[in-house]
Amino acid sequence: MVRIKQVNATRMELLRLKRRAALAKKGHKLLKDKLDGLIGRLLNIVKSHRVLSQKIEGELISVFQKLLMSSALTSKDILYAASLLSSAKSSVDISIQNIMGVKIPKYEFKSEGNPISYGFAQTPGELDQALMEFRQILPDLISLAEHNKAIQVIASSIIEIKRRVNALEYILIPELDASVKQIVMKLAEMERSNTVTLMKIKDMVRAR
Amino acid sequence: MYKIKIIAPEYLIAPLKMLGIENYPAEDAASARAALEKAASIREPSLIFIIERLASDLAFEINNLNQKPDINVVLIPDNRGSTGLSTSQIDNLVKNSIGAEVLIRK
Repeated sequence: MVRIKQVNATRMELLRLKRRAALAKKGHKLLKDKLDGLIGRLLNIVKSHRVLSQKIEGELISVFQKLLMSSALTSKDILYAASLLSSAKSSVDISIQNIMGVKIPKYEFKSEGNPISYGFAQTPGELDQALMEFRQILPDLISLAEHNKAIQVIASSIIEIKRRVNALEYILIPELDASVKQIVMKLAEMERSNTVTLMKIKDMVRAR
Repeated sequence: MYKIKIIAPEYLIAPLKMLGIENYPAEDAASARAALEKAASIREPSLIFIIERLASDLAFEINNLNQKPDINVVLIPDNRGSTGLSTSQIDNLVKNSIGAEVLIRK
């Protein structure tokens, strides 16, 4: 049931409420369009996330198996020394992209230097393979992370927009419409009462 | 430029230092929790990868961290394969937001 607020039955108030109702309806339409757009975007991102995660899964398992083998075949000291010798750097540059007013981080993968700068005598071949393969997967992993964050951010903003749309649709707009209707009825009633009073006065004047 | 961080058992990630990736070794849930706190404590945008088997007991912490705009914790499979946690996390998010499950035809 629509809750009707106590309002002053004046033409000024009627104009103000009508303006508010029009604005609320416009806002509701815009939010609904934004919601539809975001849902479309979310579904596209989810699809590409699925494809990417399926592609990466097999590759990651194989790389981790090779990393496990190389860790098992190499002593900790040698691995530590090799990591000190490595000049490779991997990092991400983060920028913000705006999708329909929702800010989503965009990652750009940067890598430099050669990770294989150790001697081959004391390290197994799996280590070289694993490092090169992991480096090849990294751009896809970064892209997966970007998709992941985009899904989280868009999903939470969809929930927020849905609440706003529902509040407008089921609370504010019906309340404003009911208030406008109430004022219109009261003004009409007042007008009728005025007309009756005037008619009575006219009759009284004529009777004299 | 921000470093890439990874949380996993040491035997899996020790060689990754050679690629310039920051390692946070963790063998169980407690050490993974400490590693996650340490990785996320630095006041800069963070991209943290954690293997699903360690993340299974840290769902609450990971959800909290992912609420922050500059921290991104991503679950990845390890050498034994995926547990399906990452996919179910995404599915739940989508289900809660649009109210429907997304099925993708192959």
